[in-house]
Amino acid sequence: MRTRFFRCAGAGLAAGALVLGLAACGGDEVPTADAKGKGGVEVSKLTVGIVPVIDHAAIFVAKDKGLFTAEGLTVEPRPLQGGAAAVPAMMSGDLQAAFATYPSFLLAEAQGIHVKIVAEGVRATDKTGGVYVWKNSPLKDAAELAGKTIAVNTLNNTGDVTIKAVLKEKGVDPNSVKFIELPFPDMAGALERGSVDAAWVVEPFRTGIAAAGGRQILASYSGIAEGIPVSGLGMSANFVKDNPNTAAAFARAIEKANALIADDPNLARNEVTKYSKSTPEQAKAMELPKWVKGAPDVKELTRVNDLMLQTGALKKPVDVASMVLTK
Amino acid sequence: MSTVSGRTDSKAALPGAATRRSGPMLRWLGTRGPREFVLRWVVLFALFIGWELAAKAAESPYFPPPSEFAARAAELWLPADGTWLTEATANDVLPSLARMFGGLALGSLVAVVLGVAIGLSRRLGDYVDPLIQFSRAIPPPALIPIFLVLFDRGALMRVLLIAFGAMWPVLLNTIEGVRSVDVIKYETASIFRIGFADKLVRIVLPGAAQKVFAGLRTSLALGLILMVISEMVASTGGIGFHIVQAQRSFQILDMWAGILLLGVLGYLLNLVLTVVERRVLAWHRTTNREIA
Repeated sequence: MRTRFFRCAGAGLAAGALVLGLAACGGDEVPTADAKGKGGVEVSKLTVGIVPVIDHAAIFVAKDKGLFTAEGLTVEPRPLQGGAAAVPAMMSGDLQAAFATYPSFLLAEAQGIHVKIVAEGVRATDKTGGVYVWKNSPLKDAAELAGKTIAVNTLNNTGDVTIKAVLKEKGVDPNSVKFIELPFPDMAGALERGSVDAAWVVEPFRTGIAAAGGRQILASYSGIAEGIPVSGLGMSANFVKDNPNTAAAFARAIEKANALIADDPNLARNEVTKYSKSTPEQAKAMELPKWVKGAPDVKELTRVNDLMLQTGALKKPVDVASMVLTK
Repeated sequence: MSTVSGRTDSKAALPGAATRRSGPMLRWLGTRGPREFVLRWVVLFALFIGWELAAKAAESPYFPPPSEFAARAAELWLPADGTWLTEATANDVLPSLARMFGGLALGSLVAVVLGVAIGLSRRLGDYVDPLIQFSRAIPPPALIPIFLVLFDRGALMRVLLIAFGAMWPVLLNTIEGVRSVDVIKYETASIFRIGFADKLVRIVLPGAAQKVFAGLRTSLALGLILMVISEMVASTGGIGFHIVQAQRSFQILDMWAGILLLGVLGYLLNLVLTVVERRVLAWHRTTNREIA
């Protein structure tokens, strides 16, 4: 009987430890500083998730130009593998903000993980992303992609969503195309081996594949997806609720940086050589996305929602207006 | 044996009754009797209840209560609406299991053949030992990029990865098992001029069987791990693919459901292997008892 008691007690303790552990996981609110009220920032140190690509240059331009300091913020960019890892890191409080593609934010929101879009990142041009085939590929144009396999970096995200939408517009059955996930750096090899028929690439990989003899047969950000917003900066809705002044200050700084780059895109070209492995020559050759002035544009962002619905990435529409930060 | 199997159930169910030797394996789900059964499962249930309460209290979207993701798992994979095969089972579970068993079968076969050869010949063992130690130290996930280039992204690459990663415990145990066979048995076989094939089937393999099974059990766990990992890269289906996709699309219930499925599969596979092992090695216990 003694042993039984102790074993049950052990189980109780283990369950208790689990309760504590989970409770610790759940309550990750950053304590609010005393500066609240008079428009002062509640939290001044922000760690922001980024991917070292030119699209995320605004953070670095804002840092270099002292825009964050002017708002009373200290921002530390932290490189991540991709946007999908950013949302959990924001929820856990590891990151206070992060760059991600809008489909990631919308998918999170659709599953009840609430995210605020605090600032726009970049919008696409018709040269921002393309479906490439290898030089010896028999494929000549987009219509021949029916029934073929296309590599994208992440499924249910900008790549396959825009490709499906554009193919449908061109009269190709998007459901006949197979998509598989490959990291961007592996795509050139997969194309050369014939492991995939085509690959969707963005800068800086796009320039590399084009130089190695790849041919673009479809511009993914064209037609129905032309000029669509690609990536932006998000914060967890809870963080924004608890730290409205910090969120607003951060958004203002990024908007100023966006406006600077919109007027002079060379700022981004200069900056990208500092935080990524791109050389000045490569940076000069890159096709740049478009930076826009002003606050996140609900009407443009809703286009992402529409494309995701149309291609089945989202089952139900997401209220994009409610996701945009109101200052 | 007839007296043992003729025992009444009520007697066998008495606490402390010796059900270990004769009781059907599955009667108490791998435990030795009702008492151990209760203790073992009570702990598990207590944990789940604690988890459930904690998750309900925490209300974090990333930690749904176990009851919710268990229900989701049942919805995804348990037979329903007259069909025993749901779409998710056909897309995720069956291809995964096929690849895992394919890999394990291939890996074990290669391992047993190599293991017997190495176990019988000291010289061969000396030659290949550094190679074995080197190869088995490489974490198979690190080989995925190379396997992708060599074998492309189809089922073959995944099966080979599982085979490569899961063969080592069987190989090392087979070598060990073959070497541990009583020298007297070999010498007796030589005296009676028993042929190599007979020696292999009647002395070497039975002598090594117990160790081989011990290796298989470790390999099974490795196979499950490698199955999941291999499906997380350049894949279009399988349990690993399901988990990664669910995580990326923030379908946290689906993700936890996948993790639960892996746990249940691991448990069931081990149970099945234990049953098979008891069947195959039944003679072993009796002979040992006779010798003792």
